[in-house]
Amino acid sequence: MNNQLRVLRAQRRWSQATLAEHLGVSRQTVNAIETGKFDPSLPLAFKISELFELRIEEIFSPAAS
Amino acid sequence: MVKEASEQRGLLRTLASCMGTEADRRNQILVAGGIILWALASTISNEMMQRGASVWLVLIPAVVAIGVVLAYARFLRETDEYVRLLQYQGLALAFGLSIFIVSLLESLQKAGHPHDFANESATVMLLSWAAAQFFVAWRHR
Repeated sequence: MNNQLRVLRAQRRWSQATLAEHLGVSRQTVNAIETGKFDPSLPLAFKISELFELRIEEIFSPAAS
Repeated sequence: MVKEASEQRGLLRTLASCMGTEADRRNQILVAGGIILWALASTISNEMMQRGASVWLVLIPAVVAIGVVLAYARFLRETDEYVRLLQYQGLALAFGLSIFIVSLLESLQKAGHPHDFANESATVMLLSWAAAQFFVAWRHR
């Protein structure tokens, strides 16, 4: 799955640690999502969408096959 | 107002940040402390039982071990989904590694190695678990 997390974070000039703090997860988790190593669960995806005030599909999109 | 966190540098800082959130670190320190306590209690009670003390002393390290398991279960319950996934990977890796090492030691003994490895299983499992945790944390830093 592709995502815009890194871009959205950069727009706010947040570090991974800052974003992790907002989401209540570890910096490792933010890094894994940004690099595409890990797809978040629905509850975490909703939390991300709420934080950035965007719809989930504006942040996450299926990877091109 | 959210303050901008500085980028973390250096091996120790990287590894510390790999340990998850503050709560994760607290839970992991509790688990590590429990393991050290268990090793101490186990060694001391074994020594005392060999010198004729009551066999009920075996309960002391057993109780500490139950505490360690509960503390680890709490850590797994409270940590986030990705760290939990890494922990499961670490456990699987440690399981495979310890089976490999224990069977290797068993083969050595059968081949005539003079040292009795029968009592080393717990140590091998513990070290495999620690090594797997370190490896997984480093790999996903």
